[in-house]
Amino acid sequence: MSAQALKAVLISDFNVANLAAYLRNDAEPPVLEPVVAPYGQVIVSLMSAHSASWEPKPDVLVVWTRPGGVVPSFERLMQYEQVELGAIFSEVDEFAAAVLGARERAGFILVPSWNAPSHHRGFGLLDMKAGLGVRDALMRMNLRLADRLHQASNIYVLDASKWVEAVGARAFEPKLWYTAKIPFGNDVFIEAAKDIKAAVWAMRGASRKLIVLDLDNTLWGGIVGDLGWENLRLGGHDHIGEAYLDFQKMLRALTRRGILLAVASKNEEAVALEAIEKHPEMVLRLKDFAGWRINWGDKAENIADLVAELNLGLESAVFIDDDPVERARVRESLTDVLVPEWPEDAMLYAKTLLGLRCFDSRAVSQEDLSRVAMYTSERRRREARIQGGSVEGWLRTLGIRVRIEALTEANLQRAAQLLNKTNQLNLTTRRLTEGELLSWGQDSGRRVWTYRASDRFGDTGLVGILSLEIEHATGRVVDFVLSCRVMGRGVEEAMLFTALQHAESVGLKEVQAYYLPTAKNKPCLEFWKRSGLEYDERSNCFSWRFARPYPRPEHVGIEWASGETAD
Amino acid sequence: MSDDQRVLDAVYSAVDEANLLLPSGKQMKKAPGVALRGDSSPLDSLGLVNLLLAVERQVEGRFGAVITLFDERVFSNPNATLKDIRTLAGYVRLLLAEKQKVS
Repeated sequence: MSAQALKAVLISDFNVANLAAYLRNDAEPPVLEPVVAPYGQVIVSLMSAHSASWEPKPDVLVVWTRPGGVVPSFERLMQYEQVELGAIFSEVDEFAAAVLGARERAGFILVPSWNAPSHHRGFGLLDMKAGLGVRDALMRMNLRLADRLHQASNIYVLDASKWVEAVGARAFEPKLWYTAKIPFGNDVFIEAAKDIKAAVWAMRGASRKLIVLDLDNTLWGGIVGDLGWENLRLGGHDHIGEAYLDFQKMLRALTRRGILLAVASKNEEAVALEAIEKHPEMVLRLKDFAGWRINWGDKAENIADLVAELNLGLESAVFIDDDPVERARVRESLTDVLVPEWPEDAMLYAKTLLGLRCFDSRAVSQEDLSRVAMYTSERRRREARIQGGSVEGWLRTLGIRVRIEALTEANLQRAAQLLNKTNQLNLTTRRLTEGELLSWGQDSGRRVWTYRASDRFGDTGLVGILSLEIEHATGRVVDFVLSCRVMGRGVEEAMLFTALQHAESVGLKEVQAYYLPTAKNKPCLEFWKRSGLEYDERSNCFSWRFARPYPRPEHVGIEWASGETAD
Repeated sequence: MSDDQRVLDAVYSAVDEANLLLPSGKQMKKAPGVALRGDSSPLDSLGLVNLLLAVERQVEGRFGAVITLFDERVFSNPNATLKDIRTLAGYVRLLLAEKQKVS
């Protein structure tokens, strides 16, 4: 297995060799190394604690079964026997219990939903009759399964019906079944592999967060500089105008999932902004954009500049442009930016957008839902900074407050999300599931704190994590993670101050922090070098021995949540 | 383009599909003499099944003819039909001629 490859164990009651092959041969990241568990032994494989499949612990486990393979009553129903729904549910519950029992064996578990061959018409006209129909039972089984598995935060049911629908008539392939015990056509496995990789991407916190959009013939029809905003094709009684309108509506809908929008367009800025603000059919207005670069410069440079301004990485960005030349330019210059092929026909824009798999995320947190508002606040902060003179003066005007809370079930989801997504200000880039993080922090001698920040422009939510492991009189900072959107405002100093304050109050003689370098966390090293702690460059270890009190950041208000104090 | 070449192109497109399932470095070359069976072939039994299914699909898309490569005629005399890409293409051409899709 190559160093970067992630281990994916596949458990199935049918031959999944072709799925494994598609996963293995796809060199696009995340690179997976599939391990196929013994064929047809689903429950045994899930329950066997000592199977070779579990060593080393797989990053992902895929449990893909045919409904009749693990729910015998459903197989009987397929043969038109009379079967009670209760008997079916009981077997679904047994299967769900086996999957739940394996929850600790893998980083996360994906369970494709059940399908029956589309050529099996069940009871025909009566097939959706409750308590009788095959399709009716199948839908209820899938809902029951999803409901039972919902209790585990690292188990996800994938909707396999989308794969079957996308493939159509060749989704079920009798020749593969009779020759190789493979029920699905290979195109189903291609679709499945894409969704599995998207899920792995999401689990690693690598989902895209920003869509950078061209304007002319992308957000609206026509060239605003030539036509004037009054003559753009957008909305109205015009099928093309309606298509652009729908595309904007879907973009706006994505902002409700925490996806940011920005503009990179070759235009006169004043002309383009006037169109955005004045066209009566525009769904997206300036307030919906986290930033823009509207000028005649190179788009790749503009996008890089914009992404840096938003404190995001290029790997967070998607670029959408109708012009294939601009797409090729950005694809070639900014290899980390996702540049999807884009249809020529505007009526396919919304469909293409909705089909992108890059926005999948492991959970939707409150911070995700309010991210657009937070970035709008951030734009106002930047404007205030430009007016405010020195950085110190600007920081004092912000009125920053930091609130420290212990890690609990209530903030666990966001904390794990932050831990797994943050690259730049991250001391060790340790990645843990929610369960692993909670469990780690509950061991004696360990503390995990979360940090929320707010200022006069708004609440930025949970933005930091610091964990401390204590052995004898020495504390070791294991995680020091801060969202890049609040970097440089004193929150990092406040985090370190509170950890050292706690360490001193419980009698520690020394606190150490080992920096683990990655390709992306140099900003973290730079902060620690500025922090005033002693630095041993050979071991990348920072240490503080309490010869004097660690200075409290002057412009940051610090508040411990009730029950949490420095001591 | 001759019928022979059209059939060979269909088989080569099927090879492209089948290669997606083979590890890099062990993929089939697109040449008439590439073996489909035996030790010198890059295909195992599942690989051969995948290739034959892909050929059926390519032929249906290009010639509008449904053929089967999983019947007794193929497997009773595999040296004549599944020895290499040339014999497979020849057999496909025979089936298409029977269906009067090629001359």
